[in-house]
Amino acid sequence: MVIFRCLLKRTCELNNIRTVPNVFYHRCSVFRTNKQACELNDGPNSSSSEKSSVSKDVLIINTPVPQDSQRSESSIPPSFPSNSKYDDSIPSVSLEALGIRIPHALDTCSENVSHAAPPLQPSVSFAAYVNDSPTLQELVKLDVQLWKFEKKPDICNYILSLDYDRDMKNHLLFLHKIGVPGENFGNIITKHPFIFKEDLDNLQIRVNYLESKKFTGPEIAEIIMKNPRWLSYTTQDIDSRLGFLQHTLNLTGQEVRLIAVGEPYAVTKDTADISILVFCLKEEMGFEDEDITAMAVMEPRLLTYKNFRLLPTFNEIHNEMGIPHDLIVKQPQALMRSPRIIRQRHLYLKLIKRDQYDPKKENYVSLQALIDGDDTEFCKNVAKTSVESYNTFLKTL
Amino acid sequence: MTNVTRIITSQAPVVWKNLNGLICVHKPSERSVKSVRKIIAERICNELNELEVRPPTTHVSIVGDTTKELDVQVKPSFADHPAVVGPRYIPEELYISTGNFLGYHTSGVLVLGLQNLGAKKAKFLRNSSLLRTYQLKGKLGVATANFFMDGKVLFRGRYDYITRDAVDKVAATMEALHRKVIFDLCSVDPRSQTAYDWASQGLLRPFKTKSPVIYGIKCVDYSPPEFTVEVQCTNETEEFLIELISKLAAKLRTAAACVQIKCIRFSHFDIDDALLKKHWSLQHFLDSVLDGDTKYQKIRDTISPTLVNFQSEETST
Repeated sequence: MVIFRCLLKRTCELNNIRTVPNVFYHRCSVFRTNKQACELNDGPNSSSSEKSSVSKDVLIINTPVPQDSQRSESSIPPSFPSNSKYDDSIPSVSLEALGIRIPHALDTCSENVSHAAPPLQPSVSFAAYVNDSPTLQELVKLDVQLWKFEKKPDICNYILSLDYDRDMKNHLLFLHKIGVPGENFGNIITKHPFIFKEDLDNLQIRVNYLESKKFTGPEIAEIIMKNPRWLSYTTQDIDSRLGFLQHTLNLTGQEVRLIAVGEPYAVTKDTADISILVFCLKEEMGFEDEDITAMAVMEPRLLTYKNFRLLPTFNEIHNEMGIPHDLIVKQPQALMRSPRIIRQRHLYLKLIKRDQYDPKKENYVSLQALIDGDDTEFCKNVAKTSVESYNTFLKTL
Repeated sequence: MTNVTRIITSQAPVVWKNLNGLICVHKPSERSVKSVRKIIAERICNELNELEVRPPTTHVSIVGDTTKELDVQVKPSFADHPAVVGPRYIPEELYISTGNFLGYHTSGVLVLGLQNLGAKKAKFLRNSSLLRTYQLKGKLGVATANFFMDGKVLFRGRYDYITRDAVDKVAATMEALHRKVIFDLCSVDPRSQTAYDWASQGLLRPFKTKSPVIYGIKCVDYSPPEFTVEVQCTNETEEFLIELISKLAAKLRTAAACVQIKCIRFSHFDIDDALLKKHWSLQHFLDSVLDGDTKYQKIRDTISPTLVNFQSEETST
């Protein structure tokens, strides 16, 4: 169970107000006991009498303390050393002398106490705080999915420590300035709440860097909408990652820009994963270098896939259906489809003898036609049969 | 169940209340029952959240200066907003239990119980040793380490001397052997009067045991090297069915590996009623719940009296 501390400003104030009498109470008792202890070291008093005197002292402070002059010998407990040099320390803890008057329970209250409320308790959900916090309410109005943070205590503590006007407003204005539409703010904050930690000047520098690399304004906004974490990478980091992509895939500047805008996650992804993917495409699947470049430019989302996701689909397309590499390069989106769907449709076409994947012959079925649309469209356009017969076939698998 | 009233609603709570019973889905092969349940729960909850869900509760606050007259404000509570507490329906809260269990390689009829009523009915189906029908496809001439086609091939052999008649003969022998075993599993002498009484009441199903029993094996398709047998059985496991193919081949003096296991019937639930993965949506599930109720009632009515008697005896003792 995650328990995060409430760091709301109001709570702290409330805690201070409530703790004033308590602090005073403790200070007094400590004061008394320390002095008693000093005396104990000097004098040979018995320990039992000393303990009782301490407890009586504490009681005296709780009740209205009598004036020094009005105090009689009878009010002093019998065990209390009457001739002690600390005897006149009791008036020094008088509340009235300090100008504090303890109100009676039945006193009429004349001051405004609308700010007083019980302190907020630790909670596992934002629901406990959201009705009392204008900042959280603003986030809800921006459509930020606060419940998604609940499993991550560091994000929760960070979000609770924020103030809308102080920490968020300028960042949202910045996002608006670079052209991100307002309805995307919620998605961006949900995906990357630590964007408010970034310095505004740094953000501007990172956007300026992209402009210097000939990214247009709408392109930059699209990158940030698709991948909100992009802005948290330093300029040097982004530069080295773009350089890595260009070097690994032999891209031109325009192609790098196409990939960065088409799939920004391909840039911020772990470079080792891309190396493994390129190795898989080249050595395990047998694509040429130019093929990989062409496929990456045509379908940048391919770069975010893991090699073990692509291999079963490739095996189905190339080894089972017998489609050569040069046709796959022209329709790389087929590699990202589930192998199950491709296998089902291929087996059905095989059953009705329509599995003709050679573009030079008649009744050619392209890879794109095979994967496009739902089953109704597939049956209507490609298989030319009814959906019911296809469904019956699916149940025999 | 003839007079079913159909209502058109966009209220999620109404739909949720009606999603309470048995549904029959088609489980694809190479996918576990756990993942099927997960996908179904996610799809149901996603669709329910798109319907008209419960609005947020109201938040009553007393505001203003305490020395003057106070103001009472009633607003929709932010603490009950879907962005704060999450979607109204989440997959973890939808309880799905299984009426029959299919292994990883098996495809076909899978009966699931939704929510409490469905769980109750699914438990009855699970414990009743109901008859299931499987179609097993085997490939002759190949022996693998795990008896299935995805295993390591140990050796290959001839199968050109095997005919359809030979397969039928072996299947009939196996069926006869298993029919004898049923009486042993019921711990009764097959020549006694008790055995006659039980057998005359209907299908004799094993009780007090979970060992697999075969009621019938029949070769339905023979196109060498592949052949298909249809098996009626109960208390089976996937390993038992996969091994059955290699046992059958051993009696034919060759080797075979299982290629496909398909559950085509589970008691009254047929593969024609099973919902394909593309049909796993709210409207189809609601129809399937109605259909499942009638079938469940049919099973309760036609269940073999032998088993019912023994079940009640078991529970009383």
